[in-house]
Amino acid sequence: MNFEAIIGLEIHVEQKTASKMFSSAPNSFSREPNTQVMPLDMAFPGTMPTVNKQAVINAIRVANALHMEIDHVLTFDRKNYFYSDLPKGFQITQQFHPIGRNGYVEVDTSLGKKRIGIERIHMEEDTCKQEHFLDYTLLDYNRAGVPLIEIVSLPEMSSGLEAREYAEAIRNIVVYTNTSDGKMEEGSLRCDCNISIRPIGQKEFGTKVEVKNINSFKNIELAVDYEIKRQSKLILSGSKVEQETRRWDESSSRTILMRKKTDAVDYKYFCEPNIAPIRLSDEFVNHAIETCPELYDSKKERYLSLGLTVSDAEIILSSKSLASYFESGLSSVKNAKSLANFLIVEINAYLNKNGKKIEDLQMKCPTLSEIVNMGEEDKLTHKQCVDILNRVLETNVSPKLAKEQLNIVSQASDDATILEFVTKVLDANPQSIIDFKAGKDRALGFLVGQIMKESKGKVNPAAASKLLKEEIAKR
Amino acid sequence: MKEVNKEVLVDAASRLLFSMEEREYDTLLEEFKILKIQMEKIGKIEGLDEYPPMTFPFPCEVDFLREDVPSKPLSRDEALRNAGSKQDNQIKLPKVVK
Repeated sequence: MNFEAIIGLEIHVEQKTASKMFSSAPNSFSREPNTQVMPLDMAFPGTMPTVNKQAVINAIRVANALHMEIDHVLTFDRKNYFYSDLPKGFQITQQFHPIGRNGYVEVDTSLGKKRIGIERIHMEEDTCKQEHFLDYTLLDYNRAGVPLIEIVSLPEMSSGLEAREYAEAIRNIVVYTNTSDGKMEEGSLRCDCNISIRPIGQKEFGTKVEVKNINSFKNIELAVDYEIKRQSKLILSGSKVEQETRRWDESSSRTILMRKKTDAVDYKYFCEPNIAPIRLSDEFVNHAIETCPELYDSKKERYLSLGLTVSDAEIILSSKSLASYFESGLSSVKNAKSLANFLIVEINAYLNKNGKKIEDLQMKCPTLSEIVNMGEEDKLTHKQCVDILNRVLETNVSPKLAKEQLNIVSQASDDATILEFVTKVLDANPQSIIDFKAGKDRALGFLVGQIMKESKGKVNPAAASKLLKEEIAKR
Repeated sequence: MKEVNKEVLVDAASRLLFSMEEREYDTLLEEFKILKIQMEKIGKIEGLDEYPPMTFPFPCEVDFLREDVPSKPLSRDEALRNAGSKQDNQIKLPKVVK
């Protein structure tokens, strides 16, 4: 029996606003426990929620990037449940009127672009952080009230890879709208996968299993694929898939049962009476959209039009800091592709070697552009450019001074100058001429190397190679 | 409307992880009796079923959104002052894993 998988994702995105969703407590990561709280976050009596303007702007931008219908009236609802991570006994969310509905995102698949529908996005507040020990639990309220955006896809994915690509596309949107860091490892993007399988051709959905605790994009793919195999095996062996919540266990690369879902939890939702409906004017919504930073897809398209390869563009865009650095050098560089190469290869190598991040780099990108331009204008070899770059990185001098200090001279490209070296090297290496004529191509490389040595790198190797062939033919 | 009796209250308390004493159930049942009388009185108002449930006393919309500017948070001592049990500057409670 052949099965098809039906996958839907629920993604929670932690917003990087300055303050929390409904209180003005600072929204900061990695601070001492219980130092980033206001009375509302701990549900002290008499406190009232107020809605964070930037959190709303971010949600509008994400909704727009996901091609959604945006609700111009904000209302919030209470999701009631009793658990220690929720001091109020309810979470303020948008159950009945999400800010965005009916959108989609496009992902690249082996069969081309695929459009994956998004049912809704809504704003809500995060819960407090719990740390469980053997027989007690510790609570840190710093996370309580952090603004979240929940993005709920339609069940329209069919493999682990598609689920991963969908989640990465969402990450790109929230990162480049400046809404979130989008780091799964740090919990600023959290993903629950709903997976069911059914025999091909069957209309009804199979029993859905929810997988939580997935902490990387790679693990989304692994967890979904594992679950598809597990469910297929169960059905083929005559058992039933049970409705349950499982978690991904990275060390054993499998999903593990957390709890069985006997019946749907009744959260007794009702409208949050402490927040009156908020009317967003057309001007407000349009301004949020118009001032949105350039999105990932638009940047990628622009980079490709500058001559970068898809791979180059994706490497640069994989880090927003790297992309910002690259952008800052674009206006002064003459060859964007060369700038990208230097950034991806040389700068990354320097950062890895020294354990630094791009933000730590003293040398700004316009200086790197200057080196790239110098290489083209002065006809320097790649190695010469790298030497200049390393000198600039190490001593913080200007590229011009670095070039002088290293006694780097421009390469000769005029035939008369090169011919002098070619003649001298050919005269000194008659055996190499015989070898090359006998079909040994390596002999040409040797001769070019001799010319570079003789000229102390002043000769353009491509021009030297061309002239060498012409001169050998005459002998 | 479902009748609120002792069985319903015991079930609700169990779902909410409350442990309640007999006299507390008696008090609650008395209060629900009063509530029921009040609801019956309201239910006699003519045309009531034509109105959708209300959250706010009258239709209203506002346009206030709070600027995203953080305030000085509570000091940790202040934040944890009401905690019954503390450890490592966090609130400590018996382990309950959902």
